[in-house]
Amino acid sequence: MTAPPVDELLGSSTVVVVGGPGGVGKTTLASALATRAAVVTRRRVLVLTIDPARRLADAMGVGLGSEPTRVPLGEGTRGQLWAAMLDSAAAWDRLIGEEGSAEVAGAVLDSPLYGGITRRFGQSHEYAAVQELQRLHEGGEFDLIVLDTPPSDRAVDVLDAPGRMIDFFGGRLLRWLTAPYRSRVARLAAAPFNRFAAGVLGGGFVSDLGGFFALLATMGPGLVERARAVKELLESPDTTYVVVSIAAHRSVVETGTFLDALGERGLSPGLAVVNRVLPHWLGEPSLAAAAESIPDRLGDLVPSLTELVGDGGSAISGTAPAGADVSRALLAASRTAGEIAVEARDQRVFIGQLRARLSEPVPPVVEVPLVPGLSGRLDDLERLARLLG
Amino acid sequence: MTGDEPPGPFPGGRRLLFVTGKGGVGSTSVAAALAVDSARRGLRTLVCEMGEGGLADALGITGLGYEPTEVDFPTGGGEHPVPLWAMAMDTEAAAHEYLSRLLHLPLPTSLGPLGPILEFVSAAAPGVREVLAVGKVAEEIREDRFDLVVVDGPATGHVVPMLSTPEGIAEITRGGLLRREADWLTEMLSDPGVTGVVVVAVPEELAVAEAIDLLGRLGSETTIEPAAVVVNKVPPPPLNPADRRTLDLLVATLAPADTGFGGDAASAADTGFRGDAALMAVLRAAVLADRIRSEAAEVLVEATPLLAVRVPHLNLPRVTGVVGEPDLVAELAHALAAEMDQAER
Repeated sequence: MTAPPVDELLGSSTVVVVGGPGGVGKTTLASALATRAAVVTRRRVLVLTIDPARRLADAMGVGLGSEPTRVPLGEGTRGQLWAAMLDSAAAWDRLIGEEGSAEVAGAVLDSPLYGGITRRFGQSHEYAAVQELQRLHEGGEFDLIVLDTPPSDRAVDVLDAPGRMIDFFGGRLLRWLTAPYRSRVARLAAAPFNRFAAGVLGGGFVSDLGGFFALLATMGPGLVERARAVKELLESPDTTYVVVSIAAHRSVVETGTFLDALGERGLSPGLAVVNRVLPHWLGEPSLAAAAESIPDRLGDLVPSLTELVGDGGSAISGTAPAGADVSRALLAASRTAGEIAVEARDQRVFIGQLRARLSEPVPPVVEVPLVPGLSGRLDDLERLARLLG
Repeated sequence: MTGDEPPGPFPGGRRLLFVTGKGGVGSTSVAAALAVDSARRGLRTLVCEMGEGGLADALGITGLGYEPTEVDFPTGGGEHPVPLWAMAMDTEAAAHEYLSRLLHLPLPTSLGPLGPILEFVSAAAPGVREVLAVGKVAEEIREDRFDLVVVDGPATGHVVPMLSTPEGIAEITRGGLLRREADWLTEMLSDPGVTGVVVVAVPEELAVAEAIDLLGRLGSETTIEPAAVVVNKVPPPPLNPADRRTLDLLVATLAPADTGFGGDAASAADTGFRGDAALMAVLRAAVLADRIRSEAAEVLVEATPLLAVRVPHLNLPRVTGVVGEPDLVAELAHALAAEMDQAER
């Protein structure tokens, strides 16, 4: 028997990037993929989540810090599972501390602009995520890192973040902003820009910005070098992209956009996962027909079913339902079954649309069934991990 | 206003609504439905896309531009289409328009060499883009061009930074045009009679937790008041307990060996009621559907007291059957109208 495609992928990649629209259970599935890798392979696996729900974080014991924590898995586990949560601010602080001299790093970290800029400036959160990925990958403590990403349009930002960092340090913007701190000639060349910017932003603010970026620029070469390494890692053949979606209109549309974005960057997904899928049989036309036929069949069904549960039923529940009760329950079942049949059929249509968006080389598609009562505990994660195969 | 006051009517005369929610909760459909409902009530309404996209799809049009365009929205049920206006935010265009106004240039004037410089400024200075984007929609109200502007906003994680930016700008700048812009914007956004946030969730634990978290962050990090909480995609209520007991009994009696579900129709036939695969399938499907619905109902019961603090709480039904997005929006608009009328009473 050959291994399921998901296991081949988990066994051969060094990085798995999990992307897709918001609200499809990406973080949970990234954790489940990592769990599966730790269970079925002998690898040391780390899942790096962006913003786990508290319960999931509690289940894995990563609620407290951004440093990897070992997650205890059940018997039969061959590898190891570790989990860490991205702390974007801490990642930036570490980066500045490592790249700048003590004096420069101190001044940057003390700047009132630093917090605002690292929170908002040009995908800084996304950059922090891939920077952490690179740091943990280079550390060599893990054989596989599964990276959870923010919703799809920001996931594209994750891919582009290193390139933007490189562009920023090579671009005109930084030269203009920092001109007053470099030379008189530079100052003159940048004068129209600065006059204009000062009018719009206020003179004090522009010089604050300039001063801040002048500090940052001293770290430019180091930051650019790191960004190049991150870019290389994201484009490496050992990095696999997994696309997660659910069978709903908007999610399928957004997944399509994400697939296009991957394609434009010369990347293709190694696996597509459709989460929370209703069992196939619910979508069969025969179920809808059966549900529809119940009201007409009451005359036959009610007497025999009432008799049947009258015999066996009292033993189970103590009181046997009367014919009217059975009749009412059958009608409710007919209506409810008819409604879920429509939902299941909707899902088949959306899954068809999603498959049609996958281009060559078409990745394997895994449908993960909807499991009522899944509560985000660790044993649920292991259960979900089994369902991925 | 104290925390004990009952929620007022929605939208309570507010004129600028930011709609947001966790990804996948359908906040774009809800924003569109709010706009459609407002337009049906005869208000001159603009809906503006500032989030992840999908508004054109929701309105059944091919694309959206920066200029508000009139859309005749078919609300179904034999009604005449209602006119409303729709646009998509474009921060470049907003910046251009804003500067032309400040520098007293007649529109459309090319900003010439200022164009690329402006692009740089807004890329470099944290928050400039947000201020220009929020400023543009606020301007539509300040100039009285619309009675109501509904913003299909970014997802919950990004909406607080966006809405707190004007205040942030006011803190770090000491003068300049941007500061002046930030000052009047802060004032307008902080006025609960004018501006409000509509928080959208679905009856799932994560989405509800995120909505509760957002309500808290709005209070602690911004001066903007929530206007309402909308729980979208609410499934039909679970079966009544007596019917559910009878169904469980039927399943247990007809297929005693079967402890769970998720089996296929074939196995239902093997264990079925004298080979009545159709009946077994219906019973099993109903029990499974009921478990899913009960879960949603439980989440909703637990969430209601946490969500409906000081703001109206509206429930919108889950719409099934693959329908076009505009049909979905039309259905939601009707449901919204019914919920709002009820909230007002």
